[in-house]
Amino acid sequence: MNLLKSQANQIKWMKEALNVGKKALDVKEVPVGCVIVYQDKEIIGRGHNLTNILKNPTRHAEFQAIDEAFEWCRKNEKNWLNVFEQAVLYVTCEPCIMCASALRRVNLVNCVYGCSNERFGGCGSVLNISTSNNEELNFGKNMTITKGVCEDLAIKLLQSFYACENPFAVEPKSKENRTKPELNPNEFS
Amino acid sequence: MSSVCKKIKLSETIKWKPILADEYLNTNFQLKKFVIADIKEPQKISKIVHKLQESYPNYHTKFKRIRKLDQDKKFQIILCEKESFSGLSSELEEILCNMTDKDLPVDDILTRKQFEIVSKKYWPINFHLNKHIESLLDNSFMKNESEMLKHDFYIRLILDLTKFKKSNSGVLIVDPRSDILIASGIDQRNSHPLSHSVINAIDNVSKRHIKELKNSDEHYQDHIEEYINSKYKDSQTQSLEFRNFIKKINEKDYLCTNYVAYMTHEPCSMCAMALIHSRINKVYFIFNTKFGYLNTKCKLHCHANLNHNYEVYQAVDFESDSQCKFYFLNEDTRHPELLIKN
Repeated sequence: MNLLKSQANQIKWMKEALNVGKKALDVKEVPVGCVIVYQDKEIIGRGHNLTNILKNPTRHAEFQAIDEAFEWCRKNEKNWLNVFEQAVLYVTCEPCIMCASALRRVNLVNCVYGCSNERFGGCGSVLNISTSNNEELNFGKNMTITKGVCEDLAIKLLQSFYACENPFAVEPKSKENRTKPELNPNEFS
Repeated sequence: MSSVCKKIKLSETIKWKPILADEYLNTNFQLKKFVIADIKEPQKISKIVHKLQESYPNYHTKFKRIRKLDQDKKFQIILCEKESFSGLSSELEEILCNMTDKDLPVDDILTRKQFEIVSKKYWPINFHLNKHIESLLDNSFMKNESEMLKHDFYIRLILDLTKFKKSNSGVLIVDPRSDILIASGIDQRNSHPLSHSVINAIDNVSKRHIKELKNSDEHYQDHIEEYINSKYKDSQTQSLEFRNFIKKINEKDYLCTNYVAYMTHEPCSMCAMALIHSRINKVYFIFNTKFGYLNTKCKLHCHANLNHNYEVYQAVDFESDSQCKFYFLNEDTRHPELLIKN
């Protein structure tokens, strides 16, 4: 079964992910949203970032959605290994290194994303976890990555957040107290 | 905590090695060709430098422009990089002679050792010594007795807790400024594939933040709290460690900024990145893992393109009671991914 054959469906599911991401704006979270689609028919998990509200930097959209999908598997008495194998993750922004590793560990190896993430991206931007040769991470399978679906919309969504300052960001560290001793090279020659 | 620590002598404490980025250890420099020349009349040096500045305004390197060769008392000058060299004005040609190419290293010079090699073998150089890095390289960072005892205490505490909970691996997060135990996490990957010790520990840090700073009613008790309670049952020996745990955490703390993590095992890529997201300050671990991302497969903590870096230390020649070693290196009961002897 080809889970990614219909481009129209890809856009449809990505729009769902964008709408989940939009909800994050209302609670002042970074607007990244994702949905997990089972057999190209049904959404079994949704999530947007909850890092600021939960004060927990690991609660990225992907983690929220994975937890929801696990719950769905439990309710429907299905084996998550088989369910995730027939599922696709649609996320507005490239999964970070942490999330990419997590996706491989739960056998969720089909991933579609909108814009890339130059700061944390784990599907090629900073590191490439998705195909790196870590057999244990996904039972031997590399990820199938499709990028650039609804890219402009995903970027627009992020820009609408970063236009106003992040009220939770840390103050930059002061460098005033740093001292750098200078060495006399003659000492060593 | 001092009462517990004093049982161990400094000579018996665990020795640590810092896991530094490769550029600090590199002595195989990449070379690039530069054009150099001898100076006939040393009194005209300032004029030469001035003229060169006009012809090659874009020339900037860490090298000193001029060197004096001791054996034959002559001065040499770097003109510019070979690839941008386009000849000299007739005026300069008169004062300079013996134009030759010379290979010079292009890498950044970060340590005293690299500095010595480069200035002896290649060319004198401008260099700022980083005292902290030097103390890591020559092991003098381990001279502080109370610090070493502290590390020992915390790492043994988390080894004990992991064993007590019959888990694969464990993490203890500590605020070193006031020696407060913040939270712990143990591996529960058998019940949830993402429930690794680091992820659980970070979850518990945020639960504690929410519980204390927002006065929420959320019920939360950490494993370490429970463990210390059971270990030090009577109130007299309920020593500082426990009281430290229930001390209030600093309201200004953002995620794990300034905190230190003590862990039994090297984290995987997911956990190493989770530590970056949580802005941890330092990590101490004992056992390597098969797909570890702080040393074995990758040094994620000092990746140049990430917005936060942290320091990592690994135990050298870890000596503990044989029972503890047997537990963590037992092939029948431990997770295969976490089984690598150091």
